[in-house]
Amino acid sequence: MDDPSGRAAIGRAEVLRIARLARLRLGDEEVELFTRQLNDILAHAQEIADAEPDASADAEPYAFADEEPARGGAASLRLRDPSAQPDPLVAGPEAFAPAFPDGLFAVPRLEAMDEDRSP
Amino acid sequence: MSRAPRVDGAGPGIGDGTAAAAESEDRMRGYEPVIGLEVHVQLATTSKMFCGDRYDFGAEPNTRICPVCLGLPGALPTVNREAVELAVRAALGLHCTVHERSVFARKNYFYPDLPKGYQITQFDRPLATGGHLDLAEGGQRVRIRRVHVEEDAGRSLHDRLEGRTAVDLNRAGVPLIEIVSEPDVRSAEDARVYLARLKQVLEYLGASDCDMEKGSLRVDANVSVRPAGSAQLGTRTEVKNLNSFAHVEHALRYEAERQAGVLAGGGAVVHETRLWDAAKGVARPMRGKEESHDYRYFPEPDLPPLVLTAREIEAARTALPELPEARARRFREELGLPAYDADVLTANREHADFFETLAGLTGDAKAASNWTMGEVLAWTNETGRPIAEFPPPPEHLAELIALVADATVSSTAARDVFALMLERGERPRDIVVAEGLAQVRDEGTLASWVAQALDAHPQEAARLRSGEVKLVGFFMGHVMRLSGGTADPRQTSELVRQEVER
Amino acid sequence: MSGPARFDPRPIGDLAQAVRTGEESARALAETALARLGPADEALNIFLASDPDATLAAADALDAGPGAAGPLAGVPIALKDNLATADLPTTCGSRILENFVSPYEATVVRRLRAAGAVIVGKTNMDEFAMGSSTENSAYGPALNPHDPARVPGGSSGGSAAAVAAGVVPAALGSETGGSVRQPASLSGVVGVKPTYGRVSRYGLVAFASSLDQVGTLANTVADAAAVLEVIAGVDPLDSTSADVPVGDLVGAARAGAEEGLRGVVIGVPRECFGEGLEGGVRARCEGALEAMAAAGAELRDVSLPHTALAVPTYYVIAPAEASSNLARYDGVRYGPRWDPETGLLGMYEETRARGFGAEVKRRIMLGTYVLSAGYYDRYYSRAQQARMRIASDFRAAFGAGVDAIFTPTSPTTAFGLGERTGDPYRMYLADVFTATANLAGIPGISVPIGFADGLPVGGQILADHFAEATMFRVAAGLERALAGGS
Repeated sequence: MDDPSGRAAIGRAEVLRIARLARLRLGDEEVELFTRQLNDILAHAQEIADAEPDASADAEPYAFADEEPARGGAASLRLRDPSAQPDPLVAGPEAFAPAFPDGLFAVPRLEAMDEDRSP
Repeated sequence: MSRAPRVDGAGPGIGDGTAAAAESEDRMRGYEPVIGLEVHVQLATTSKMFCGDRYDFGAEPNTRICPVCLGLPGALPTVNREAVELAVRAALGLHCTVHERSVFARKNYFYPDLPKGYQITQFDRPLATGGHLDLAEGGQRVRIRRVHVEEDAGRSLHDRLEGRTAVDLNRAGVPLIEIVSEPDVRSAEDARVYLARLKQVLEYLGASDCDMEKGSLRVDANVSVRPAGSAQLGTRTEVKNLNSFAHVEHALRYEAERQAGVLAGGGAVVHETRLWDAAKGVARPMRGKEESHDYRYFPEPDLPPLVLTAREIEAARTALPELPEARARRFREELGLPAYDADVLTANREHADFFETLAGLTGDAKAASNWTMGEVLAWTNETGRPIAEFPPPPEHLAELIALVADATVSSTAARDVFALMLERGERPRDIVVAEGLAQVRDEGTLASWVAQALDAHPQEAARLRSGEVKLVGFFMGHVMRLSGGTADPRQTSELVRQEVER
Repeated sequence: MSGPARFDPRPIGDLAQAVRTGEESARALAETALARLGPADEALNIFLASDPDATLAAADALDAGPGAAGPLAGVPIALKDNLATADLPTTCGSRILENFVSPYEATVVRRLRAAGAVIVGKTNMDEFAMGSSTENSAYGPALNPHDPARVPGGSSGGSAAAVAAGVVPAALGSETGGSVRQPASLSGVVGVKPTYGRVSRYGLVAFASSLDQVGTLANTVADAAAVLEVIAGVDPLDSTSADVPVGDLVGAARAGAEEGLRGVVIGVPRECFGEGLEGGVRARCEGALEAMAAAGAELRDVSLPHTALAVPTYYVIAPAEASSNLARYDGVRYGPRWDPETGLLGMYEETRARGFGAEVKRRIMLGTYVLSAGYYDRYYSRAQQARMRIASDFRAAFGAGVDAIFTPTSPTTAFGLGERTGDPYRMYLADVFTATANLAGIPGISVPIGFADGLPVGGQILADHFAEATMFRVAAGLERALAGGS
């Protein structure tokens, strides 16, 4: 069902896995709706997915691809002078944070997630 | 005067004698560890990787933040030139190929101290690849797979708020390089040596202060074991939370032995991540979810590729400071230092710099080495302060060395002068005068001290005169006491010996 | 007042000149805008935030200030609600940023203020700019001034409607796949999407970073150019902004209007005039082509063979980037938080489940999927390659001596509220003629070219990278030709 070739339909389990990865709690109706709509939308993408891979194209964002055609955007990366000052905040986190006791962003205690990282 | 200074991490582990090593070998049951190291190093820049905030270790939480490192809606990254320069320097110092074009990428995962929900790092087009680091000159070579640039996350604090986790974002966006080795390390001890060498090189390059206590050097390790002599790689585990060189060695020895035990017992090693618990001395498996490893890397669309010209890379290579190996070689070959001295002095760039300044002032490299390795490093060990803060200027120390060389003071008195220099901050020559520590060479004065000593010990004096030469030392000691250590030892010895010959 | 109207018959440049000379006061202009804002908003739900006192105070400060107050002195301007402002909230039409006031301002907002513009409010939009109708706003749909039963287009529907209803002479919007040009077309105003990198994105809340660009909406080509001139130019805070001189865009528009289109070669891509184009839209486009030819332009057939790939390509790349860009809305640092007290994961999932609307969730799901292990190569990588092919089509056309390309902006006129909300892909097809410019990074402008069944129709002029001057010249020539000038 969840065939990585992409040919087969996206199943409910796959939708739930993606939702988990995206930290979205979905209701039963949403799961059903998205399962249908994702399949529908991706069906239209099959033409590009089935196209012959282009050996010359690499994984850079298009706007910065090595090859012509030239893109818009900056021609190459400008480096910031180390003496440049940060763009200042006109209001501190206490003005916009949902919970900021003692100058700290407070979140529910990390439990199952607490070791679930690998920076 | 040759008290051995402590060399951070380079020596054998604390309390790890050869007996322990032998015991460990038993527990390896004929298996050999295969270790690769992933080291995150904080670059010594004035501002963050992608914004102008300063990072000061120990600053009040959430006071070094701006729209960019807070991940505010609409904020965009800009790349710190200094961070790129330091990363290039580090990569070149590790003999890597620095690429003319590298690409930033996003690593996506959710964590409260990761403000944007992704880390900007480099993935399939890193800054540099293919370097190496030798564990000793001419010794084992560990290949470096890659060096890439990325940003740090903030800090999650679990003990600050009752029942909740607190997040401090001061550290978010601080520039890091990740240095990934090939699995070329073959023992926990070598892992420790690798890290010590790496730290030494990065400090020399001025790329990082490599202070593990402040988190500016962090280590993860991949460990597997295989039957000694086998060419195949076993299943590996990743060991995290290695917060000091001692922990690295301890944890890797533990993990290698654990895996050897599993295999010897007919079991199989599970591919997993383990956290080192230093208090309990065990590496326990982390609870992990499958999807947590789907980082969905893709090229960072907010940053064009980092382009460096071949000319810029060559210029950076030319500007590299002398690295420790080359410096030790020069100390041996040009300054004539013993290998031991050269290694000890070059273990730390500031120590070597201090020595070279001193040697230049005195023209006597060996004396400069003795003083640096002895009294000066003893001072840094006792005070815990860096050599840069050593109070007397090198000119004063050079003057003291000259006073010993021209026999104005004895080497014994020189130590007293040194202690007073630290205490008073005065020039050694002034101390010698004020304290009367100059050597006395006046024949009359010396003769009267010798006479006094003989008179005080008539029986020993008789034995001396009857040819008992070993008593020369006895009377020398007395003269030294009488003179407060200022009697010229060579002349005094001559005067005492004349009594024998009478 | 909620029907179509124009803020003032004078060009923006003349308005600012009048304010600078004291002939007109900034306060009077601001009062006019505010007087229209209330009723228009009530009828059409165009604005998400405004602060009349602050607006008047800003106008008074300009009137009291020392002379020469900049190229937009006293000109009232509306901003799409995804541009960061430090006084008014910036919600992006989303619950997840409800009441969020940014502690910094977007570069374009700073530049507008520095040029003397007076900000009158933040306009309604599809949530996070995801949509083509402004029906995806968490604060209710905006309506079309030409027919309140229809959508104004989107996602910059509020900005388009604010100009179309005469509340302001110009507004800023943003584009990712057509979100300025398409609502401009459906609402009967001019809308510009500049070259990627022409305008700073710093402070534009990101949807899809490699496609996003701030654009201008106004009644005329020259007015759109006047505002773009102020906001364009390299910005040290946006690494993707280009250090390419902006040039005299208003002058280019004037040249097009005064000199006509003699010597200009207009490419007409046959792929954009096939099936699926409404009859009325086709007829107005043919009229526009005839008018341009009459004004001296040479019309030349060109081919953009990969046009059909644009929508599927866009709907892989944009959601992929969006899924990452929207990860920051997690209830930790800003915005509302919904905490079911089941731990951190529960807080994340609840906040995002309640904070995001259906279309945003759909695109986050889609984007997460196409980037996830096993699917990246098949979708994301291939879409990047398709993007290259689409860009190559334009390069070939411009390389062969075509100065500009003309297409319909949208295949249809404004559609009815709720008509397409049940069928996401049908809604996505509204971007079929506009998304190519975002994918290729080239500039585009939508110009009103008449009406079909009483609803506005827009024609699109596309030009090569950084050739905004050419684009404005041709667009102004078209505008003048249709107005009966020569």
